[in-house]
Amino acid sequence: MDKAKKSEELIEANKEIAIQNEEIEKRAAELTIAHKELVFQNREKEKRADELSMVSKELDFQNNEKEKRADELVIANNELAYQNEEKEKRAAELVIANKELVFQNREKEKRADELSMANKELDFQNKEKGKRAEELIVANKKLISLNEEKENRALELHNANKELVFQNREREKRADELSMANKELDFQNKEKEKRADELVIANKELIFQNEEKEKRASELVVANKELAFQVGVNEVLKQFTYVVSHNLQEPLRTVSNYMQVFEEDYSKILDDNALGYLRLVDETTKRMGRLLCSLTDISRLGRNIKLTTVDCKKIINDVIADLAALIENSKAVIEVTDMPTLNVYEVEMRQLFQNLITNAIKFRKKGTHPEIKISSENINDKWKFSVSDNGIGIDNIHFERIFDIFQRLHTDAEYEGNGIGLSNCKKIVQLHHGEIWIESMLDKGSTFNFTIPNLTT
Amino acid sequence: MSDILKCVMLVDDDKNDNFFHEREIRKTNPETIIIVKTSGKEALDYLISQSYIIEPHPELIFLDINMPGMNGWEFLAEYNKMDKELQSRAIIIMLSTSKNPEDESRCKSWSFVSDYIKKPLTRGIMNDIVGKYF
Repeated sequence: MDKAKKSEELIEANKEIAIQNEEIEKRAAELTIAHKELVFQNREKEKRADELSMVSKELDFQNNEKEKRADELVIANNELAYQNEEKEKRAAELVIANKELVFQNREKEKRADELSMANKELDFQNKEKGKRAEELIVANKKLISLNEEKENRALELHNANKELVFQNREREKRADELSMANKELDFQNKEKEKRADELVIANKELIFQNEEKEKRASELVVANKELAFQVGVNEVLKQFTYVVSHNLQEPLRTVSNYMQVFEEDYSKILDDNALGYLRLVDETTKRMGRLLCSLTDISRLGRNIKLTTVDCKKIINDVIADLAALIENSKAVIEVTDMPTLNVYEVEMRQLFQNLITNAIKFRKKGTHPEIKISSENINDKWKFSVSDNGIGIDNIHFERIFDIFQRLHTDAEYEGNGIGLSNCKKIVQLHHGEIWIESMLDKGSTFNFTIPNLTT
Repeated sequence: MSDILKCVMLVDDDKNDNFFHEREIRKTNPETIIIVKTSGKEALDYLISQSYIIEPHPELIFLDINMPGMNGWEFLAEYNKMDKELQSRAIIIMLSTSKNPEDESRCKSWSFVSDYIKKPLTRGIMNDIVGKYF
């Protein structure tokens, strides 16, 4: 730095010198003029000039030297400037490095402080440990003595341990077995608990059902007694009816027989009136005979009879054959569809069809011919039979009572009957565990339907 | 009609029936001897006592079922015990008011009972019987 300033100053000084030199030359010229004027002086001054020339030459030499020197200084200066820049760069780097070093220095100072603190702590601890070590040495000695005792003890324990290990293994085995057994028992226990819960529920249900059944049973017992009584009464009534109707037949037949004797042996000696009365007695007797017959039939229903497998078509054809005269006289047309073969009470079944066909013919409209259709239909586990006619029909208010015994809708003058036929039909159907009903409208004909389930013999 | 019906026995407690049946038999068989017994016991006694007498032994017996004392069934049981030769001399036909099929099937269990007829016995039925068995 100083060198740089120095060289600049030198350069400035050099320039000053050059200027001064030119001034001096101007002065010299003026001085020459003055010299002429000043001849005297000149000479004096020529001496002086020579001296000055000598000085000037010296100065010129010096000047050249100084120029050379200035050029060298420029070069040196440039070199110095470059170096200067380098140094500035270096200086800047050094500033940065310096800052870093300052920072590191501070850190290290902190660390040094900390280490100093730690050092103090360690020192303190060291001292403590020293104390402790001394104590431990004392304790150690005691421990060594104890250790020996314990080793002895350990040996004993080791032996005992072996025994225990063995026993332990045995017990572990046993424990494993017990654990397995326990798990099994636990599982079974849970299952049993579940089952127990289920059983509790089932039990409650059963108890409830049991109670209900007991109630029902006691109700049934009562109903049964009532039924048994009624059945007994019914049976007695049936027996009574049978005996009465059967026994009444005999005197009636006797009357009828004697009517025949009268007709054969005395018709010639009786007048027309007497014969008319006899005929009336005869007709009435026969009607009473039919009535008693029906009563006998009805009272005998269901007594010691067996189910037989019968083709219903055959039963119907037999009935039609039996009723040939009636059918012919009334010019009835009877259509019979396919019929099943069923287990039925044959005699009763025959009577059922006979009653229904007879009714269908009997209750025809005046001036018409009966058209009767007998059909069957399989419905689930039973058969439905239908006997349809084109007769007088029945008002629906009578649908129920026509099946009751001795219920008649017509006088003898209109349609003869005893009020037993349909009640007998109902009994026969009930005997087969079926149902009977009528579909009809006045003047539109009637259809009697009944069902017969599949009965096993 | 291969032969004339010589002797008929009626076993019935009902006198009216006996009267009428006898009358009906006579209408078509006027020559026939008709023996009337009003109980099974009486009929049985007659048959046994007459067993070795040549005449008249009934060829046809009409037997009622419902009778006081020995009824028709009891008569059949006793008759069955009789000498087979005696049995073979007559055919037995049940003649009853009963329309009970039970009675009819019960008769069929006796091999020597030929038929079961419902009262009254008429001349028409009589003709059928004579035509069928004699």
